[in-house]
Amino acid sequence: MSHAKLKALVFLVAIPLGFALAVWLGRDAARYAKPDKFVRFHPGIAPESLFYPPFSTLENLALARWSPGRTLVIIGGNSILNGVGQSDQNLWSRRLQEELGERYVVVNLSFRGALPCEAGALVAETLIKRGLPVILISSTAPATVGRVAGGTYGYLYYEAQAHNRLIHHPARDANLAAWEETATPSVREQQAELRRAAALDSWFHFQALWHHIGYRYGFTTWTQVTRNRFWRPRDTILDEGTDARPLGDRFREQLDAELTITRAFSAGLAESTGPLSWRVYTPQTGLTGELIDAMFPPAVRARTIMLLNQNAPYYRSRLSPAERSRDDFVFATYEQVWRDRGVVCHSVGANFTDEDYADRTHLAPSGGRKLAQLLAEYIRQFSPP
Amino acid sequence: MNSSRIRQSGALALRLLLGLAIGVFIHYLLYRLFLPVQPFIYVAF
Repeated sequence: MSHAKLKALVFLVAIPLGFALAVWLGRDAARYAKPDKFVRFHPGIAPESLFYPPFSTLENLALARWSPGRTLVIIGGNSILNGVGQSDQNLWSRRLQEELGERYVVVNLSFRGALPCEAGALVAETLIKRGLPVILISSTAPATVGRVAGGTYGYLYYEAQAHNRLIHHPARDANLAAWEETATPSVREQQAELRRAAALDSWFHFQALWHHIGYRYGFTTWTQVTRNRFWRPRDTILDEGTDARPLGDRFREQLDAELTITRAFSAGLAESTGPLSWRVYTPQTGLTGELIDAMFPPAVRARTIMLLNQNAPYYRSRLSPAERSRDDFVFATYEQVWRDRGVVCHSVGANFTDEDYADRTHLAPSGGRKLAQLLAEYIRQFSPP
Repeated sequence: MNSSRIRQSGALALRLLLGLAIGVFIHYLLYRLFLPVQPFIYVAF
């Protein structure tokens, strides 16, 4: 063989070899890669800055802390449980860990803007599938369940599914298929792309490798959040979440808009049948129940504590007596909707004070402490696996 | 003679490294290809 042909051959063989090397490294990274000293997903390691932690990272975070004899408390849900309004040091899930002691391992896998069935809920599902003792904590508003696919964190569902991590739950498959059928062409195309990405990733492990490199060695994509030094490894970006402002500076901004939202929590969910008497709109309770059945496999429902978050008293105290009565009725009704599906459900915040809230919906450090104390009690009451 | 062999080996090593780098780069492109164009913007409501 001539030297020129040999050079060409070496070059052509090296390309798939290089690719295979990256796949091997990615497969390895999927087994161990996770953020150091993890407390919560702050914007520097979350989709706000184009960092989409792979499903394997979430699993690793939970598995790395667990040891036999301990129960994993997986926190899913949205910005309320993510601790917006609390600094890293005053985060409510740290308090929960202190309250529960060493028998439990608290892992906060909540994301800002996530639905109760996304992210942490899927990790809890995969851990339950492995037979580990798990309690899932999640939070939402009355009548809000959503779907595991279609939102910002939908990629986690497709990844978990492609890696065969989820419990077989035909009701979920059927619900998602029916939803996709009626979705717009662009949404259908987006879901198809996410499925393709997850299927390819299950073979080539590119998400685990390049997110690990982005976290540990340097990020290659400019984002608004990291604009000045976007190339910095994400492990150098600190959690800059701050505690709630002084009480005198809270709540007054956009008071009318916030009051409108507070009223809307229950306005479309019940109708008046007399003075301070209410009847629930059954289509919404029916739809909520169907989505709970579809998005949470029975084994997960049996291990879940769902929290329905009340708005801050600053706003609720400004509602009329009828509106407050409707609010109480709707929260109690939707607690029962979750309970009827086998989920432990509690409304939280009704007896909290202004001091306990950072804004209309998020908790200040004192509210976080109260939430931790309440939840620790609920978790201890929970029947063991 | 020796210097010619060294040059040939060097050229082969260069092709090997270049090929490996391209293979790794294709893997990176898969990651970039599926990265959303716009980041998620969190709005509390």
